[in-house]
Amino acid sequence: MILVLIMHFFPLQAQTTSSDPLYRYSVAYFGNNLWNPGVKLGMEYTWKVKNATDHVPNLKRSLQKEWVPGASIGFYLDPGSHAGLFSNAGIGYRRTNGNDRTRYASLNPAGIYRSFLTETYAYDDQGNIERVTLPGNFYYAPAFSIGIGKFTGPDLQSGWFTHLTITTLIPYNHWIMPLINLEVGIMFGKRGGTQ
Amino acid sequence: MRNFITIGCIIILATVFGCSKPDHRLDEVIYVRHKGADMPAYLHGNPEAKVFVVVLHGAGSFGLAFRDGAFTEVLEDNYVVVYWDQRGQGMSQGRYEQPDDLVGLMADDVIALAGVLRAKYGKEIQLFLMGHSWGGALGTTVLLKEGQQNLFSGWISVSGVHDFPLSAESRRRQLLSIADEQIAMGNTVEKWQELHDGVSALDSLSANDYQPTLRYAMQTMKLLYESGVIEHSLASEKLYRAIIDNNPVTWMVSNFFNQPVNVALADDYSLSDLLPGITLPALLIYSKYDVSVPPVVGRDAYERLGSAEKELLLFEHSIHHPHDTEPDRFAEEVVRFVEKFR
Repeated sequence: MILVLIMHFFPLQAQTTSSDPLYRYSVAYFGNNLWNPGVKLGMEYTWKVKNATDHVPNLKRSLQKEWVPGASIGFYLDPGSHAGLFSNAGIGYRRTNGNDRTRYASLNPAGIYRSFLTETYAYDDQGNIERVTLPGNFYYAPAFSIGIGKFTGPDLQSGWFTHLTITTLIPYNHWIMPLINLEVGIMFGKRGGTQ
Repeated sequence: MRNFITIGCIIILATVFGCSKPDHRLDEVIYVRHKGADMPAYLHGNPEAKVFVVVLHGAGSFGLAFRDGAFTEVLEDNYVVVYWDQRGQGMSQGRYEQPDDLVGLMADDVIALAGVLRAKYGKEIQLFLMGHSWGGALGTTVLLKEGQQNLFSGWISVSGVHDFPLSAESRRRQLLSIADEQIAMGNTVEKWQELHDGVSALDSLSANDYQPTLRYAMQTMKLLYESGVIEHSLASEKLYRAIIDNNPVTWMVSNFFNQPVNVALADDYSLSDLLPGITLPALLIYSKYDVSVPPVVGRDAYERLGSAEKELLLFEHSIHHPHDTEPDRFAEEVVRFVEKFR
């Protein structure tokens, strides 16, 4: 979340088609293991944008390619087991075709995850038992996403998307654990003034 | 009219959300934290008898895999069943270094679980320990820890292994025995003969023949299902537990990285010489067609156990999961045993 705030108030120098940088905000259903329900809020910043023309036989179509650094924060619930709170930051790449349909991939090497467990009791070597306050664990949680979507609003600012996200918890037990998540959400944009 | 609808909605909502669980049910999830691992225990059942059956799952499995059939329909009606995910299995999580003595540490985890159950639900509760397959090895290790047998009122071994070399050696004899029986009965003779000839050529003591033996074991199970000797069906409830209740990715990845049974195999883990040290009442349930832990392992355990009260039962229509393939008899025998010794 700190990274999101930093990006908002101290944007990187942008090269956009408009004079002002574009911020996009998103809200998505975040399904851990597909059906453990959650929510994810995100923000991205249009850092580098390139308009291109894609030549294919008998068709000329326009493309926009953009690099979008971003960050997100989210939460999910695995009923009867645990909950997870997480935040990621990294960079995404989005291609938008002439029909405003998008393809997207992102790599988020900065990530943190905190699990929240149900009632937990700690047992030590002397047989003492204590109830644990706010039980759970922190993990380093880099993530990788791929997805598709479509801009529905003007100036490629807003639309919908669906992403498949793999978040890796490290170290989980004494190795790693991937979490497979499905995101379906909407995004909306806002042009910001230069600082 | 509007008031009538409003009142009706209130009544419906109050009925739906006001419904409380039956007084005799316990349905809770608690975690036991021990040496870096947070291990969930799913407790379901009837707490009135103050009897808790702690289930130690087998290799590659998870606690809730047992929560159907005999367990939900009978055992939970009488007792609280504790479906527990062992260290590094199922939904267990945490951060710890891989220990030198993994099996010993996992046995200490069970002792921690027992301590937590008593602390939370009362010192007067009685615990019965049930171990399936690898869980049999784990449970036996727990009971052999000094001064820990008195934590439990009884031991139930379900196709449990206490001697890995014995289990591996006896597999070949078991495969040949089953093949001979099926050939004599005239069931798909050609396929059984082919299997018999293949197994005959194996050396049961050779590490090189371990994987081929396992392949023939899988083939044996398949033939038994195909010929109807063993009924095979995947209960929808079991599928639900595996995919919805449990996180299948977490379960399978955990199993990939942490297989205590492999540690036991590599160490030729055997508790045979120590079994006379177990003296609490014991019920041993083994299956006639088990090609993973053959019934001869159960007979060996029965003969060596130091318990004054011990029983060995052979389930005639089962392979490695008698609680699934003969659930009625399984539930009946477990209840009879628990009622006798609680």
